[in-house]
Amino acid sequence: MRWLRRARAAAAAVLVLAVAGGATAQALVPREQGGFTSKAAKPSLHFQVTVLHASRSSGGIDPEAERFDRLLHDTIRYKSLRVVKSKERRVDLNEIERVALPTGQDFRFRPIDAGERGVLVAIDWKKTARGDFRLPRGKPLILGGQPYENGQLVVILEAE
Amino acid sequence: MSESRKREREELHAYQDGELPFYRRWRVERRIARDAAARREIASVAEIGALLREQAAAQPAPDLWDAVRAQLATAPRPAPIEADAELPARSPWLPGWLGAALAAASVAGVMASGVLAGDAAPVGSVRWIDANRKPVMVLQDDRDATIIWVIENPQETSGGARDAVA
Repeated sequence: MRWLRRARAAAAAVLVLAVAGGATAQALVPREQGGFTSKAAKPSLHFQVTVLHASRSSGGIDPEAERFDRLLHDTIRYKSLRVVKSKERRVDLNEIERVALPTGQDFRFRPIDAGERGVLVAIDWKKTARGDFRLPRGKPLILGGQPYENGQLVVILEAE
Repeated sequence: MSESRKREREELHAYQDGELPFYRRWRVERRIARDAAARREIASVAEIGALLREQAAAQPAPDLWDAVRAQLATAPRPAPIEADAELPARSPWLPGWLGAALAAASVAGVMASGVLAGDAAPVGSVRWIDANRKPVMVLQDDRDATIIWVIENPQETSGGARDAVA
């Protein structure tokens, strides 16, 4: 039964090598914070884009816009504030996302980097402004000033 | 210039500058004593050195700022630039006190925000911003929100014809 002992020894060696190889390969795969390995290298980021219309015409504050009214009413003069549109978008890093504005222009943004301090986003609002901004979670970026219908458009970008 | 001639010339310069040790200095002095070209070279080097020392010892250039400041005080001032009729001096959207204060500070605010928004700044969000040559104000950039307002020409008001919701 010498051949049987040899076969068992060979099988054990193969098993040891397979386990060791698997562990090595596992160590080479980067893990995400949650402990799961990701299929895609680019994490998907969650954004909320809200477009408001601020006007000096009477009309009151849209209940959905009250959160932003609390942020704006001390610095911007308006009599009415209404939500034109609100969109949730999942965007990968370096992917350009577009939100069409009622002016016919696009509000475009592209997350460049994501870290503990928030998401670094490049923004291009045609004919109005462009730049790079860091968006910590829960801190809205409020861009305003584009004239529209006897008022002005306000675009709010939030990273969630 | 041959390599040996170049070396000799460098040695003469070093001799003139007092950089040679005793033995090499003695050798250079012997060469100067018997070589007319070496004497001319050392005389030239000495002359240049003297000229440089003279310039270095000369008085520093006079400070012209006082004269410039005096002329600035008496120079006629250019007429103030008339406000652009198409572009209001301040936005009707901003309260007067805020518009005036922020108009002056807007550029500095943008720049400061950009500078401070590096890794060391925990709050500032603005890395850079370009508003196509229009005035732009960073009205707020703290823990609650970042508010940026571009002062547009109201006559460029667009929209109205298109559906408000895409």
